[in-house]
Amino acid sequence: MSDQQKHRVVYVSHPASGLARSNFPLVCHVAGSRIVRSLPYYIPEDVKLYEIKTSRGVFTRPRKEVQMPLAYAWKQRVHSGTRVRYPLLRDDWSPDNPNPAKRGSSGYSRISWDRALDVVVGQINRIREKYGSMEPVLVQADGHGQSGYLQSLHFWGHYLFDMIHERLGWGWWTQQVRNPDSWEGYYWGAKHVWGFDSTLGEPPQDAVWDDVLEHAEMVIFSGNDPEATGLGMSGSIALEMPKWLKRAGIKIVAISPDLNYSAAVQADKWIPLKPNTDSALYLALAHTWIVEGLYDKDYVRTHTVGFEEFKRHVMGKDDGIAKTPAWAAKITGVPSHTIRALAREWASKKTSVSVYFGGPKVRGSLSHLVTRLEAYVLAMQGIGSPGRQFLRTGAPSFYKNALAQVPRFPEVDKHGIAMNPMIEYAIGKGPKSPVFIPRTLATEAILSPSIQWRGTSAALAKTEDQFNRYRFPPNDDHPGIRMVWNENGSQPGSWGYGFKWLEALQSSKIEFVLGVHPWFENDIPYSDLILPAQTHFEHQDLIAVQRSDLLAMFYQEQAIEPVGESKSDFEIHRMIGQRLGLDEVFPPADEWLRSAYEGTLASTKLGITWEEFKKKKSIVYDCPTWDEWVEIKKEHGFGPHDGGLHGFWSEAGGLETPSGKIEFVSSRIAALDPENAERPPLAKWIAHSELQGSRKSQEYPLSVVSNHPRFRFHVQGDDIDWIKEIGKVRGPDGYMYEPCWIHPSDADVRDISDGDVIMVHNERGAVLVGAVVTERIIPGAVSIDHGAKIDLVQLKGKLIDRGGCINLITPSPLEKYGVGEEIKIPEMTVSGFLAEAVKIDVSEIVASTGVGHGSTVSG
Amino acid sequence: MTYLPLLCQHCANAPCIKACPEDAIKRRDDGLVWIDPEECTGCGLCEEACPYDVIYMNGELGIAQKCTGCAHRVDEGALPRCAEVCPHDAIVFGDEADSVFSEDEHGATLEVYHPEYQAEPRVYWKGLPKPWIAGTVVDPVSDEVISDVAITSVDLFEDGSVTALSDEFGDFWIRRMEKGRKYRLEIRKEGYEDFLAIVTTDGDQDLGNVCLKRTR
Repeated sequence: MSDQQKHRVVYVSHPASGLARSNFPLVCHVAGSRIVRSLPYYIPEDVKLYEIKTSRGVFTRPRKEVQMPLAYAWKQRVHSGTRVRYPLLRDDWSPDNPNPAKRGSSGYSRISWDRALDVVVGQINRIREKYGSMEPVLVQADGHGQSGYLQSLHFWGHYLFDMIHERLGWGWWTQQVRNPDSWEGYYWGAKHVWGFDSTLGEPPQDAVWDDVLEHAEMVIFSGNDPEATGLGMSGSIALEMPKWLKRAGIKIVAISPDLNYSAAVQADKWIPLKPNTDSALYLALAHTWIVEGLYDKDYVRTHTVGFEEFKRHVMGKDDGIAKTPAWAAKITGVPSHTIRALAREWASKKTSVSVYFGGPKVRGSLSHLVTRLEAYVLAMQGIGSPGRQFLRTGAPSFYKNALAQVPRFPEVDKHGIAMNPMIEYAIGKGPKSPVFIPRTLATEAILSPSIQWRGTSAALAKTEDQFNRYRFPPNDDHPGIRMVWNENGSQPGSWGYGFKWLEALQSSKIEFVLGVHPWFENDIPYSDLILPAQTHFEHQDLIAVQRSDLLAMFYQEQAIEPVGESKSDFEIHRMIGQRLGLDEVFPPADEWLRSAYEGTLASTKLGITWEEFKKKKSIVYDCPTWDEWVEIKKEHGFGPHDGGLHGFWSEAGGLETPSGKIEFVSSRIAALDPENAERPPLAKWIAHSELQGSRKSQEYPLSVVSNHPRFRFHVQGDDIDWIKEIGKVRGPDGYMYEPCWIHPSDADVRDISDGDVIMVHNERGAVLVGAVVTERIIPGAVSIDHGAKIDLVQLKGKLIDRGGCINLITPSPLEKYGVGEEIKIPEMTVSGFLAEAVKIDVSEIVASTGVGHGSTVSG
Repeated sequence: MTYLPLLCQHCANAPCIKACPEDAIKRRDDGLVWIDPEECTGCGLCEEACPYDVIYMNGELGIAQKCTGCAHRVDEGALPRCAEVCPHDAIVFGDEADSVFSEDEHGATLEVYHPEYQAEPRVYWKGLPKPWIAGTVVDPVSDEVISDVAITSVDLFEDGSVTALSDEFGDFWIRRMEKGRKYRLEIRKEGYEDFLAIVTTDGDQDLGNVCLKRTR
């Protein structure tokens, strides 16, 4: 009997790209309640793929669509030992005596759903009665839960409280705004140079591959790692795209402190540089181009403003320091002869720069400066001219204006897949609630009496918003945050200074913490009540494939019976809504899914009814032929091989900046925030305390690089045995430690050998990691991916993390500013900060009894 | 930087089969070697015998286990899991007579890993890692890299030499050298004194910056 006969075959969304969006699904074989296999999806032969026709060959994608290793291992999370099976109430919590300091160390007891809903609704009512509105409730936000369209979405708390406000009139709630986490620097920086608000601060990718594959001669991977981040977010198309570059004969040069997974196999040249010093490298490139006359002077004259002031800075006319390659060599660790060679190559070959989400450069301290300097050097070489583009190696598809990055029908882009029902909260132009907190400031919002900052940090906020002043609490009589609604458990592992966040959850101000999550992990054990959410195997849903080069929709059947008494994220919030009398705005899932489906082309144009679709289970939209694509491009003013910023190059205007041009000197900053020493109107090299050479670096000499993980998805997946086996370092005690890359020269002086357990520490705390002694990291730096699963233990009387969650000791945005001072840029610094590493004796580790992960779950 | 996924080599002359006192390790007609869990006693002799170190003891079940070549899937006409989920198609499964197992368009021939073990593996490789010699040619006086420098490696004990040119970054990279040989490296550029060195390929050799002295 074949597998097909023995097993039910079910499409299940990608586990972890979230926001109602998925890659292509997993093809799961199910026998009874067991998920036997998760397999790659093959695009059916009758679906028309695109072809990019160039003088260097024809480029398309394979029909096999593979996801990151984590996706195939995700089924191990279903019955993981950390799974929350029933509603759990913290043993020493009561409405009158919440025992906040015990959060993280208490045991839990199983309670019924009925009682759990009583507790939640009771707490909502209590807040309302005591404080007069929902404003004391901090409702968290999150980018990446499981990727079902509706059921596993992570913004239902926002929706619920929005409906409580709108329908019940109980007042506003404190909205935690999802900040531009993985593209941080472009949001706070590059937007001031070139705008692009609607594409999150990065240049739009319209038909960009047509241009690059026809014209480009060199592509700089600036910290770009499609093998890790691209594969995770957009599936194997992210790995195909670098192969297109190779096949087109385009040279790939990787610039990064680490020889990352893509650079290791794809790059022709790796230029290692010290973390967080790309700004100095860009200035030295500019210096070489100015001295040798190797930049596009006509373009700079017609397409940009403020270049003369930049030139003065580069040549040291303003501060007495010429930004020569020798100057930059000292800062970056890149030899001056290499900097000049790179400058000449960049100028003589048609060069594009490629980034994706994450990378060491974009999430460090003052990352807004490096992205502006990157935009400057791209402008000096005429960005938008053939072969000189800003390139993203991977989907998703929304980085565009009118046309997709590869040949696709615009109609399919517009109406092919169901709209994200929670888009307004997830990727909005601003917070829905006037009472809000950027996610980077959540800790401070609880612990500090009052904070002020600039910019909402909403993904699609206009650049101008970065100069608006906000504060929390909104007035002096405000009770502040009293209750936390946590739908994800990712705050301490993905944002800054996680130890402080855990402390905030233990604050006596916080009267109630609700956790809604499938697993007992990270900050979920700091909840007073935990509601058991489901994995995406346990419910029906839609799968909206948008994080790929092709667009598609799938119907996800329920694969297995729910584990314990778990419910989907949607159902949990629906049940709470029903208790509050909000039945009308929480229709059953099937109704919601049907109506979302019926708005798409599959229904409106292809005429496939919802019932038919549930049987058929998939629709993958055809792509245009090359000739059809050329016609579509013509209608939008593009020639066959035009793409990217071609329009700006030919028109020399039309950007969203005040001048419509690329601004070396930002006219907005000059007008609205000229005295901000951290973000001056002209981006410069600014030394700061988290860089080598600072006073602090005498005690903490190593720079920590923290990339998006290759084997996790942010904080997710560390409880999977298969992932531990491939992604961790087995310590002498058998514990699977988070890997830490350290250069042999740094390891030698610290007596560290490969496989040793080392403690990486700074003034904020310490985490344990397993040493990987390798030349893949520049001397003076260590690389530890972010988001390892927290496992607090005692070492020599100190509470430290054995799990290696490096975000526990990353800087807080408040550190740069004094208490009560305005936070000018609420950025997050989760890479490129200082620490020291020391070998430890594993026999001295004492499993903590005082912390959540040692606590018990009864029932 | 190279990665080498190492799986059971499904050897034609398998040391594990010879080592098993229970005859629990068997070869199917299609060549896949498998351990019969019903007959395995968990003595561990196969684990010791395997020169590739790809047999593992399962303490829980008390038996030896290894890659089965996904025989159960192959029987259904499907690919082994590793081949199916590899996004780069770096792992190819098929009959030895298939065209992918002959020379590819670049002329790369198939090799087996550690032929000296004489186990006659049925897993074949293209591009098994071999030592390389690399460096960057620099003029320390002008602080510039030097492009188009001819770097010749002369095998001191066998006939033959290879010449590479330094690129725009001054980098040269002589790949696919034989392991454990001695080479004379001759770096020559007009206007500079010859640079000669003896390099032993007991591993990859990164010479770092190779500084050339200008002739007077």
